[in-house]
Amino acid sequence: MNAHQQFVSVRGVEKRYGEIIALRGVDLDVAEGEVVCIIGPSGCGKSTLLKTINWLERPDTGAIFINGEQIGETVDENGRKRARPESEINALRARVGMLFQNFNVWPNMTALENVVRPQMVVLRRSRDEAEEIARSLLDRVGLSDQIYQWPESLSGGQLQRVALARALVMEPIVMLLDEPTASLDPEMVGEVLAAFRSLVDDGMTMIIVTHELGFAKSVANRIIFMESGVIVEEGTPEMLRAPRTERLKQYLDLLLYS
Amino acid sequence: MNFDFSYTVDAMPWLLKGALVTAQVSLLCFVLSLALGTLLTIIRTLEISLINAIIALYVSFIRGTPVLIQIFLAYYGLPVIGIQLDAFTAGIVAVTLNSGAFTTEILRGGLKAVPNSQLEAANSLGLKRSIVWRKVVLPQVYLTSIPPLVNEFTLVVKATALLSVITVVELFRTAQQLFSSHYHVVEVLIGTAAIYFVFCFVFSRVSVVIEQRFAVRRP
Amino acid sequence: MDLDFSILVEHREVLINGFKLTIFIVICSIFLGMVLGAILAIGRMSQRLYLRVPAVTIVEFIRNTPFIIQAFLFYHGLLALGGALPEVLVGILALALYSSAYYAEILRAGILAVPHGQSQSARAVGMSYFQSLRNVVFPQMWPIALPPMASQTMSLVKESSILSTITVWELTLSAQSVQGITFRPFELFFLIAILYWGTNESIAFGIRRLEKLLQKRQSRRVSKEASGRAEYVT
Repeated sequence: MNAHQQFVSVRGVEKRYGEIIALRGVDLDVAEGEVVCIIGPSGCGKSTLLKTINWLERPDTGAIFINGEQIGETVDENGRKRARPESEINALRARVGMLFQNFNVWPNMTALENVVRPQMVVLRRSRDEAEEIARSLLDRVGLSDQIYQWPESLSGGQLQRVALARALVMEPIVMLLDEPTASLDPEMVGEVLAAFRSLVDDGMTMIIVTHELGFAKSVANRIIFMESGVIVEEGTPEMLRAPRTERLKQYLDLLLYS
Repeated sequence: MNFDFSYTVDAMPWLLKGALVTAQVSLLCFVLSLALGTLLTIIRTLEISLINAIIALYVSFIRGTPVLIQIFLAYYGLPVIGIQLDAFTAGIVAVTLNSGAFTTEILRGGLKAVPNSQLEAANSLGLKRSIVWRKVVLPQVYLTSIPPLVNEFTLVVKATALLSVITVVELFRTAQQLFSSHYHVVEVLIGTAAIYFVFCFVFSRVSVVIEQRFAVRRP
Repeated sequence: MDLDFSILVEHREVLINGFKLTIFIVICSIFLGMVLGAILAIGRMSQRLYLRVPAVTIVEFIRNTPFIIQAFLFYHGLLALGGALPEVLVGILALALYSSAYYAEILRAGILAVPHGQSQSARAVGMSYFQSLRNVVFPQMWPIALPPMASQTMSLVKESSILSTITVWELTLSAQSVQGITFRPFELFFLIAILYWGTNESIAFGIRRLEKLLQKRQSRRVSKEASGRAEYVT
């Protein structure tokens, strides 16, 4: 499949941190509107893979394409890699929304300001315009009563929804979710997953790293199982019921018994 | 820019002689300061309010005033109230008293880090107080305090440069004597700075190594 | 023992002028030092070697040599290069550079103390490195960096006395000149010791008040009844 035809394309990406090899050559294609869930044991490279897609981590080898455009680097006529200018990388990151396991809501601003500031700084919108849009988004994720609250008085579920509004306000073309519910108390997982589900219904292209197999089964078009920096198995959610590889079988058994 | 660095090279033998004086003075002051700091730390545990207040005042005065002024007070000021000191002795007194205040605070922090259980265990074994201090507490205090103490030593080395102002012939004064004859100040000073740099830099690196070696031993 | 503190009153003008100059030099050096310190801190943390190596070299040189040597190098170096700057300016430059090395380390530690995820999420929405510093990292860094910054500033006040050795007419040199006339070193140096000490205590006091203010702000924010249009930002 031609890399440029897919919405998100990862080709031969490798990444090592000193002695540790996080990614050993990963290929991944995601079509527009598709929802892909990545599962696997901790340390298998899922988060690293996600972070290479918006160039928060630079792969040692390989290339990443989003909507046909190679990000982070280009290859010139001589076949040599040249880094793309910071401004282009920043602009691209703005179109890719990311959610983190520990929310990373900015504590020095109110919930509203968290969603207003990126618009003003990156999109150069006026404060009034930014506030209007922010309010409607925070309303959409069910936080209209909390907009003037400071992050330290918000619950985990509320914080993740602020982070969601903050990501959505940049009008992303793809969303990367890195274990978004892993730090949440069980009662709050539901409200956050519901917010994600509504995104899926709106046709957003999403790549979600998660260990919520139930959620993955219900929203994913495709599930990818990774281990030790490679993709071991991928397929429809059916594969969770009937895993083909032994390693996926072992992983699923482990989850069942924990 | 017309600097003639042959002057730097020529100055080296003399500078190194001055460096020797700096090393001796620094070492002497540091050892005395450590003794003073240890003494004050022990006395502080007796919890006599008046004495602790005096110590606190001493520390506050030293930490709040410039070393240069302390040196002037020792050399020029003391004779007025009857204490005549020659330059060398006045310098030692000033730098020792200065460093002593900081050392006291460092050791106080180190003492806090010694678990109370250590003291209790030693006392419950019926050991004499002085033994408890010497064999149990102080070694741990010193061990914990190695990084800030080494840092304090480099501060002492740097402070000795100010003794040149009261005519003590250490490294900086030697440098001044040298360049006052041929006016190639920068060349001589670069050599001087290099010697101080090597001194201090080596010590701070050594401290890191010592810290790592001893860190392995601690449970 | 024969002390005469009246000479302090008699020569107060010289001493007051010296004190005023010391304060002026300190304030200028604080601001210039912080700016230079920020530049050095960013250089220290840069991935680009051509920025990192000079920054590290400068910081290590300043921290491992006595300030009096640096002051002399500035003074005589400028003379040798043919420059004729007023000593006060030379003094401020030397003192600012000296403190910038220490400020840089404090800033660097402060920036590293802010959780990495904070700047990551800022970059993830498309902010540049500097935008993430300004909007997310620096505001979170200040409470952490304030105490060491304060103590470094108090050091700055004390080190300014060394500028007397390069003929800057600050407090110490002024006192020495009065000493030369009155031959009363004890009274004089005791007084200026008190003046330095008082200045530092004032700074310490000011910082304590500032910390209390920041803490009050913090607790106000946590209250669940955030009513109306509270301030958005720090």
